[in-house]
Parts: sequence; C-alpha cells; structure tokens
Amino acid sequence: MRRIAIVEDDPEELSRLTAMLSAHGQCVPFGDGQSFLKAIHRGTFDLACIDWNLPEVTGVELVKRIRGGAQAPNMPIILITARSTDEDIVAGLVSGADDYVTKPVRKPVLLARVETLLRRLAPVADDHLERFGNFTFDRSRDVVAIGDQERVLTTKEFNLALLLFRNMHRPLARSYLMEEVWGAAANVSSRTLDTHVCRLKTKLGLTPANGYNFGPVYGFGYRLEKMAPAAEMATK
Amino acid sequence: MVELDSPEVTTTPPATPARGRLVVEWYALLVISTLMLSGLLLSGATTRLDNALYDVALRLRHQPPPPSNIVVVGIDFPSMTAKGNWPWPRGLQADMLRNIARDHPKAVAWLFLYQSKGLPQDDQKLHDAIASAPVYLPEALESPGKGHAGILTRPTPFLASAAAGLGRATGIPDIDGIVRRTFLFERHDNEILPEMMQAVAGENEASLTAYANRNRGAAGVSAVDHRDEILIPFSGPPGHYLNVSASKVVDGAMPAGFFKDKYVLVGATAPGLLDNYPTPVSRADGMPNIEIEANILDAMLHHHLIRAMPMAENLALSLGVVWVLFLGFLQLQPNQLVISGIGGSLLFLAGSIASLLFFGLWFPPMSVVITRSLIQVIWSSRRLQAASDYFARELSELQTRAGGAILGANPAADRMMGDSVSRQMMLIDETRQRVRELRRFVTDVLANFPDPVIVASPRGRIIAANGAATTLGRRLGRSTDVGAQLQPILEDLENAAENSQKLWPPDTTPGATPPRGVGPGGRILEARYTPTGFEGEQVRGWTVHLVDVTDLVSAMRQREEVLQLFTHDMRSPQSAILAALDHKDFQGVPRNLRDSIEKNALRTLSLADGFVRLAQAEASEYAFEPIDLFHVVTDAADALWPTAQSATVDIVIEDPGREYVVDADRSLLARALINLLDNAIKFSPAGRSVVCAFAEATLRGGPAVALTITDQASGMSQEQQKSLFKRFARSPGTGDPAELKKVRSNSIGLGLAVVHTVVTRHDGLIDCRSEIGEGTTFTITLPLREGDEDGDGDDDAGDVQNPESAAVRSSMIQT
Repeated sequence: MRRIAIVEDDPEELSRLTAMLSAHGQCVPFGDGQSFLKAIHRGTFDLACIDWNLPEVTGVELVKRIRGGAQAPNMPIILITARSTDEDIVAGLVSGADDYVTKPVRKPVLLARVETLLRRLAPVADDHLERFGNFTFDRSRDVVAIGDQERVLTTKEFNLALLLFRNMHRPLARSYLMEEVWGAAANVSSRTLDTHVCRLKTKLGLTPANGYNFGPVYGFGYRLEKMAPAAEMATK
Repeated sequence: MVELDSPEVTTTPPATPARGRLVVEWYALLVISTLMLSGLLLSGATTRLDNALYDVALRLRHQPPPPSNIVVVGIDFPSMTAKGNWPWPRGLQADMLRNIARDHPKAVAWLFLYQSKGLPQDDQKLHDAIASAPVYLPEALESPGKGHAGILTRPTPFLASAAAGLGRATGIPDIDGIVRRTFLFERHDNEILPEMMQAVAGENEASLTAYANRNRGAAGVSAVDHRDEILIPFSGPPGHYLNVSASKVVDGAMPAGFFKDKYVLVGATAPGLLDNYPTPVSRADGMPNIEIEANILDAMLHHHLIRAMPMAENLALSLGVVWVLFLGFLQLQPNQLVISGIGGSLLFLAGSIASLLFFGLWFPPMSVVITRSLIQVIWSSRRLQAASDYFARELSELQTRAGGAILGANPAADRMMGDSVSRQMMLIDETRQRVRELRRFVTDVLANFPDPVIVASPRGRIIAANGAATTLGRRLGRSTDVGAQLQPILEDLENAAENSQKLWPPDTTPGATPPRGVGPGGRILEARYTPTGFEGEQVRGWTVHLVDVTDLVSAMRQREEVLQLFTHDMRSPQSAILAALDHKDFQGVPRNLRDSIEKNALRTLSLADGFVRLAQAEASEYAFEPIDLFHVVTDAADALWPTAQSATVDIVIEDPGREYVVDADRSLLARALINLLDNAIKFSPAGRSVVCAFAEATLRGGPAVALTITDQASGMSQEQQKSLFKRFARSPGTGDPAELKKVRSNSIGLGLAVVHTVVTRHDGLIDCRSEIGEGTTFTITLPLREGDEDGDGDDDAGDVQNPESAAVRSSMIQT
C-alpha cells in the first residue's frame, strides 16, 4: 500500500482530497508543514500533496526544505494552490515541486497527476518497445505506432515525444527538454523547440480533439496531458 | 542634468584647423626665408652692415706691437720739401735705394711703378741699385669691369730684370671705398700674379702651392679672376710701423746698419701723392698704401691673416642657423620665441666677432640677423593671427553651443563692428555674459527642482545642492554646504529604513534597481544616480536625485494587496463553494439551483482572473522572445478546445505558409488571443466557425504580420465598437433579450481590455471591423522581428515549409 501525505490546513479541503485519493493509497493528513516535516523523520511517504497557503511554513517553503533535507529529497510532490497566475505556477515548480494543481481541485486532474508521479516509482521496463495507451514507441527504430499505424519521426522528434510520454502530465522545463533532446552543449534557440512541439502535435495528432492536451506551461516549459474523457470535460 | 548643447550643433569640434594652417605656413615661411637668406648673401645686399660690424670687430682685435724688423720709408711732406716734388729723378731714387741696400736688408719692397723708360744713365744706375739687394717691384692689374680683360701694367723689362720679384701691391677697396681686403693671387692670361708682400715674406712658393691645390680644375674662369681673398688685419692706425723720412735716407743720415736684416718698404706717404686709401683704422685721412702693405707683410710674417669664409660654407652656416630657429618656431612659447630670437641673433653676432678675433675667420652675420628678425616678426604675427582666428571661431561656436537652445540667439552676434581686436573683446564679453546666464539658468533649474538634488564628486564631496536637498539636510542635522560629505546624509536614510540598502557608493551595474532609504517623516526616498562626465571619460561626479516614492510605494503595496486578494483570498472561498457542490449531501438539491450556484462561483473566479490578468498586462515586465505567431495561435486554440467543443464552434487556423516570427511575451500574447477567441466562440451561433488567418502587412513602414480572427456571429454596431476595448465595456450584442442574458452570464468585460493592452505593449495595433449580421473581424498587426522575416532561424525550419507536412497540419487543425 502506498503512503500519500496530504498537507492542508483547511479541514474540509483535507477531507475532500483524502476522499479523492483514498483509492490510490493510504492517505496521511497533516494540518501544517511543521508536523509533516517531523513525520518524514519517522516514516516514508511515496507522494505528498501540499497546499501552498499553509500557516507558518508556506507550501513553497516546505517543498524547499524537503528538497534540501536529508530525509526524503526525492519524494514526489504535488503543490496544490489557489493561485492561478503563470508566475505563481512557475514559482512553485522552481521551488522543487514535481507538479501543481490549481484549486478548485478536480478529481480526474488530481488522479492523473498522482498516477504519473507514482508511475515514476515503478521500474522502467528495459525493452525497446514502450507503450503509452495506444502509442507504441520503438526505440530501436525511432518509430512511433498509433494503434497499428506507424509514423516516421526524426531522431530529435522521437526523443522529444518519448520524453513527453514518459512524463505524461508533468510540466517539463524548457531548458530540461532542450538539454535532454539536443544535449547540454547545443546552442539551440527556444524557437527550435517550439517548432518540434508543433510538428509532434501534427504528426502524432496530440490535439484536444484526440484527447491530448499538449501545450505550454507559460514561463516554464511544456506539458503533455491526456485529457479526461470528453463527457466529463463538457460538464465543466 | 540639463542638456546644455543645442542639438543641431555637433558636439565635437573639428581637429584644430588653426594648427594645421600654421604648419602649412611654417613650411611656406621656411622656403621664403631660405630664398631670402640666399638672396641676401649672394647679392651682398648686407655688405655695408657687415662691413660696419667688421670694422668695429677689427678694432677689438689684439693689436700686436709693431715688429722692429719692418721699416717704412716714406716720401713724405718733409722729403718733398727737401728734395723737390715727386717724382724725383731716377738717379736720386737710385741713391736712396743704394743707401738702403748698403746695410743688407732682408728685402726691399720698392713701391714705385716704372712704366716707361727714363734717362738711360739714370735707368742704369737704378738697375744697378735694384740688383744690389733683394728688391721687389710692383706691377698693377686694373679691372675695368666684368667681361673685359684686365689691364696689366709692369715695370720696364730692363728694371724688372734686376728685381728679385714682381708683385701686386694694392688693396682692393670695398663698395664703400674702404680698403679691407686683398687677393693673395690674381690670375691674368693664365699667369698668376701674387701679392707682393707674399714674395717679400718668402711665402710665395708655399702659398702658391696651397692656392693651386685650392683652385685645382678652376682653369678657364674669367680673365680677371679674383681668388684667394684675405682680409687685411690692420694692426694699428697709420704710423704704427717704424717710419723713416725718405729725405733722411737720401742724405745718408741713417745710422750705418740701420736697415740690416730688415724688411724695408719704400713708397709715397705724403697725402698729396694720392696713394692714400681709407681703411677701417683710418677712416678720415686714409692710410698710405705702403703702410697697408706693411700691415699685410706683418700678418704674413706673424701668421695672423684673416680669411673670409667661402660663400658656400657661409651659405650653409647661415641657412643652418635660420633652420634651427624654425624648429624653435613650432616648439617655443611666444615669449620664449622673442628671447630666443634676440638671444640667437646676438649669439650669432658674437660668434662672428669671436671667430674673427680668435680664429682669424670672418663670416658676415647680418644676412642671418636680418632674415631671422624679419621671419620672426612674420611668424609671430601669423601665430597671433591664427590664435586670434581660433579664439574668434571658438567663441562664436561657444555662443551657439553654450545654451543656444535655452537662451536663444545671441543678439550681439550680428552687430559686431569696428576693429577686429575690439570685436573679439566684445565677443569674449558676450560669451562671458552668456556663460554667466547659463550658469544662472542651470542653478535655477537645480534650485527649483522639487526633489532633493545633490551633485557630488566621485568621492562623495558635495559640489552643489538645491533647496530641497538643503531642507532635507537641515532636518537630518547634516550640512549640505559645498565641500561637505554626502555619505552621512545617505547613511541617515539607510539607517532609517527597515531593510537597509547601501546608498553609497552608487551601484553602476546597468539595470540595477535604485536603492531606497527613509527620510524625515517616514518618506521613502529613492536614490537615483546619474554619472556626470564627458563622453568616454571617467566619472567626474554624481548627480544624486532623491525621489520621494512614498506614494508610489504605497500604491504598489496596495496593488499587491489587491492582487493577493484576487489571486488567493477571493478564489479560495469560490473554490470551497465549488468543492462543496460536489459533496454527496448536495445531491438532493434541485439541479438548476446547483447549476446556478456553480455558474456564479465560476463567474466570480473568472472575474478575479480577468482582473489579475489585466493588472499583469498593464504593469508587469514583459518577457519578450522570438516566437512564431502560428505557435501562439495554436496554443490558444488548443486551450479553448473544450469551450469550443461544448459550444459546437470550430476554430479554424489557416496555414500561414511561412513563419511569422515576432518578439512576444509567450504567456501574455497567448492570453490575449485566448480572450479574443473565447469572445468569438461565445458569440458564435452553434455550428459556425471562427477563422484565424495570417497575412503579410506593414506597420509604421516595417514588415509586420496581420492576424485576423473572424467570427460568424451577429456583429456589432458602430457604437459598440467604439467602447470595445475600454475596461468593463461589454459587448451587449444586438439587444435581443435572449442574447443579452447570454452576454450577462459569460462576459467579464475585462477580456478585450487585456487584449488591447497586450497588443499595444507589443508595439502592435488591434482593429475591429464589424457589421450587424455580418460577423466581426479582429485584426492584430504585430511588427515582425528584425532580420528574421523569413524565419529560417534553425536547422529544421525547412521541414515546416514541406508541403506534405503543412497539408497534414492544416487538416489536423481544421477538425
């Protein structure tokens, strides 16, 4: 059973989040950051959902302390925030959070993020074929198959696509993408990345119409998301 | 600080043309002076002056006592009284010579020219007398003028045959008639005629060899070729040498052996015999030729001849001296020039005299002195003129430059009259006046500045402070007098602030935020530093401008607080409401009531978002980067896909066919496009589409891209279009109640204001064309990034142009 820590000062919200995630693991609630910091000295958590606005130690501060501490520097963390501006999101991601979810929290969104992060914990199969839904990546040939239809990509496009699919739902920093795909030394303009993203969108059909949201996280980078089923979106 | 230069005048003056002109004039003057000096020397124009100096110098010469071995026997007045007028009979002359010869003199110079034969017995007697001793007889060469052969007059061959030798025995008068020089040799018909004293002194052979050596290859010169000039070193006035009256010799009254081993010169001394010549030592009466010859003989025997410097050497020396002066022209100050000019001339004169006195070498100095003086006067005046021209030009330029824009044209500049010097003085006066006015102007500007302004040296010493600064200083108990330190004042401001920032020394890194301190009364002062100095030079000082930003800071704080309120405090309860609606206890509440609660909560949220976005669009720093506009549009369309989907409106993005790279803030531009598309979707009837198209355009003369977003909604009236981009303006549609309700429920009123702000801050234009019933077209025109019009910024841009992939893309988009 996975242990998921939920740090939230609002009891109502806390119980709501607990209810949402209880099916995915053992939820451990915390009312403030200090008590959570104490708790990670004694036990391990597989994931933490942390509210930005906490009394005394803010969520961002808490993330920084966890990342800087010795106990669980690599713990997957989702920051939950009522702040919706691009600057705030970037600030949260830069502090070290793996992902963020804005309030009001929607269950499918939260679950998708949590699953992505938990999947990171599972060992990666060392097979040259990697499957994501009906997308199959053949690493030996740089070929992506959608269902049984193969799409030819350039090496860079293939690497970028694989990186995005492996980190489905996670916002990936522009610099990280460029470094991973083009190498640290390459002097690549950010427009090159834009162009590749645009081409992947076209070639792989990563559009909302096909159930994928592949778009920018402003001021940070890109995120590939598998959207909730259309019916659920429509009611929103 | 104040811009003191009027903008239309270039700020850097051209590289000193005055100096350039002077250099040209210097060369011109050098040529002129060389020609002038050569002319003076070669023409002998300054001979009279040179001679005058020579005469003076000659008298300064050490005058040796008359040597005892030279005796002058003169046909003087007493002799003629005793023996009758000259010429005496040749027999009498022979007697006299015999009386001399008897004593075995060293040599006798018998300065009587026997052109014609006399009585045979007398001639015989004379011949015998001549033969009885080494007697030298004169010959004469007359120079009738240039181009004519000289006329040589010699004693009769009979007498000449008895003589020990012949020789010329005349001095050569200068143009002033004074005898100063003679020639050791003269050439006549390939015959070389020596000066007689040379023969007498026995120097003939040696001199002749030296002469021949000096004049080797000079054959074929004019018939009378004056060569080997010497200056006669007069040892004293007439009567300097031992003088014996001829009558005494004739009478045999001299003691026996008186003439033994002596050089005896015999000739006329009586003034009436017309053998007297003026000399430097005897200007009034003249000196008998015999005594002149005695002087020459003395110099020969005692080797104190004076030689004239040959012309070529003289020319070289003189030119050298003048050229040295010229070097000084460029280096020396005017007063140094005068001193060196006068000193140099005197030195040259002294040198000339010293050379005569100590080395027996004479060079005439006057050509040099005159040339020098003249050139110096010319040069000084040229220099003065150049300086004066320079001042005049600089002054008139200063007149225009120094505050021309502030003080207006100089009224005095046009009515400059009178003599040029007084005009310049007037100009200086005017300039001084204007500089004073300008200073006054600057001081006034500084003084009337509402905020404290302090001008300080780089080390923080106060140079100037205005009234507000003085007031500030007084309230802090610090001095703002000139020379006081600036630092204590700034430290007071630092210490009063909570999170103190260093106010001194100024942070010179570009783009640094000015530090803030707290002044009296809790006012927040921002210290803005402007370096004072000339272009490219080091900082000469700082202008410290303490701006009261209290109101700004509090406004900023309020804004932050409001933003905080909207971003968090207002969102949280709305989120809570929405969360609560999901709760199972709400399942029993009627559906329409729940929907209404949810809709209103969402509207409040979106209002808050809209407000925050507008605030950001207006106030935040834009992060511009080169972006293909197509990417931004697709991102915006993707973000709105769910909205479009639920409204069953298609967003169609037409293939741009090329890259349109613009400098844009990715997030804000996308937000603006989202707002615009969102708007279009909201008003579009179901089943219609919103079309985004790209086109090349020009904006303010530069290349640009025009993005059009066209909907097929009901359109807007002119009235509505006018207030479209204003804050909180709504688009109330056509006024039909059903639509109005829809508008009410969805529009937030801030969306288009955000669009307008963002586009404007991208240096772009937004335009709206709409007809009721025809739909609406928004056109956003953005300037293309310079030098990137074709967009091939990277390795794979070519792929984008690939028709196949473009086709795929457009088909994907138009779903």
